[in-house]
Amino acid sequence: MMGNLIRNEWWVNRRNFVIALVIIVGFQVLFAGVSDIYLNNEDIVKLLETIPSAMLEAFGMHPEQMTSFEGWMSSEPLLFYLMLFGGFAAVWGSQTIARERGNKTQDFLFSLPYSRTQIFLSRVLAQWVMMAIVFLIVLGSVYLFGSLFSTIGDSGAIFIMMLSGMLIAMAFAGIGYLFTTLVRTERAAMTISIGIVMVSFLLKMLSGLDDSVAWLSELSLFNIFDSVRMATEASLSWTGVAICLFIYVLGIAVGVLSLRRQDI
Amino acid sequence: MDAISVSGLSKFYGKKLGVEQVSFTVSKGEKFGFIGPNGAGKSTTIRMLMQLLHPSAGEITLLGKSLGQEDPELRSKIGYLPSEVEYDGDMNGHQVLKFAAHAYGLDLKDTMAQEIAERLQLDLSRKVRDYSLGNRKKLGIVQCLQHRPELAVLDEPTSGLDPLIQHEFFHLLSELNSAGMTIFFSTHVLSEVEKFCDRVAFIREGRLLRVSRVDEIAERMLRKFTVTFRESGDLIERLTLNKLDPEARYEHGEHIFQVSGPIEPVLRMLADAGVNDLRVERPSLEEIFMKDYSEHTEGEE
Repeated sequence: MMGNLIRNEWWVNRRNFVIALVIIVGFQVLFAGVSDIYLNNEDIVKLLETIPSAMLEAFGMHPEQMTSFEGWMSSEPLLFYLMLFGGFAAVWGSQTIARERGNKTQDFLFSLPYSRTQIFLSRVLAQWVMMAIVFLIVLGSVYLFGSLFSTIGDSGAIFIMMLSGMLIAMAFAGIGYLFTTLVRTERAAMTISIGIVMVSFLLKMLSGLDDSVAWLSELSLFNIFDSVRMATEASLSWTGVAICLFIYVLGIAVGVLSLRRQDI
Repeated sequence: MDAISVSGLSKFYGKKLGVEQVSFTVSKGEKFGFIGPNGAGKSTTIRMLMQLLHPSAGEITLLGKSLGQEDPELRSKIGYLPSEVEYDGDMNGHQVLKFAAHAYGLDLKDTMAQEIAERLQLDLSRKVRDYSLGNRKKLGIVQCLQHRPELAVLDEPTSGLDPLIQHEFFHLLSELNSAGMTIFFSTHVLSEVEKFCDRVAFIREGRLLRVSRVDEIAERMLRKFTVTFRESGDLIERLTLNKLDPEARYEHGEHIFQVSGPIEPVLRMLADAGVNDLRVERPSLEEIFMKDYSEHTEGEE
């Protein structure tokens, strides 16, 4: 019976999913395809060295990383990947229940012989599969275009970078689950979730401006993994992984409990 | 066994009253009407029956099972039609029904969906967003009844349906009821209850006014007299019609008054006075309800 709910969630999100996939894959393919224009390009490196470090940090640029495909992909491409993937995941998560209220379809759905927990968890599972598909297709596309237009030195580093996107997307989806039962319209859910992603990015930008506000980086999901470490060591910090999974599980737990307790 | 048993049911939204101390039972196989004006608490009561709202107080037993924690298994035996029927606009009627049928563990072809859709003249190939209000209501009816539930809970089922379809709908409900389905439906169209239901509950401002058998209400009904006397003019005072009915009135040459109890003495009095024309009618359920309604309002004032 859960299969029915999962298939329904995929069907409802099908357009949204294709749009997300095309945009995220499109950007990564573009970045992977043009990588050799930037790599070992002395003019670009010199230009980057003239830009204030806070500005470079805000956009994930590290001139010293511009010597390898993995280094390039860990800069601006990774930031775009995290922002886009995180944004779509937050929207999916936040609309899990809010969509039913906005469309006034909640009476139909919640009067069917499914428990509220079943409905919520089925949607979570369906969305996790959607995220996993995005991750796998992006990973495959970056490998393909990296191989075609550049040279991939460490495929493990690419895998880890793309995996970090999946983990951060799960964390943003978890934040969406935290408030999906509390908002009344799809539009409100989308606005809040995009707002959260933007605020998270803003915190990352601000944290690099001055040492006195460096602590703001602790509040941003975009700083949870060190891009240089991912590119050079092909590893993720376990603390970052744990934080992402914690936010994801917490969001699901709060969402389920809230849904079970509230009036539809 | 009772299909529905509600005892002391209350629902408050913060300090605002939804319903208070509502109690009634509906026997298995019964056709039960739930009547009240808009905002009376009909949908609140029904949504508590469907486990969509948590009661503030009171007990509900459905099909022999007490509602405590959420019980999706119980809902598989119930068909529910909300007052405002909405489905995903991107789906067509067929897809909605297929999804709902699977939720009940059924294949669409094994349900009554096609038969009911044909009887209600509903095209299932169109998208929900292209349906009129009436067609959305028809889809709701098909979805609610397709799995042959033991209990059908219908909230304002006829709003938006044209008279011919309403007739077919009640015909369908009668057939399903004959096959054992219990029917509980809310409406503010009293003639529907009068024609269709065995018993009726009146609700107003969140409180149940009374629960009666429809035929018992008919027995206790007032008789409405419309009389044209041989003598012209207003004779209310002279014939002391205002003692029979304090609200007796004279309009367009006719004397109109209502009388409860035996009518023989009234007829004798009228015969003595000399009558040109006389009509005696039973007030409709609607008039009875409105009288009940105004009596309660006056009592509270």
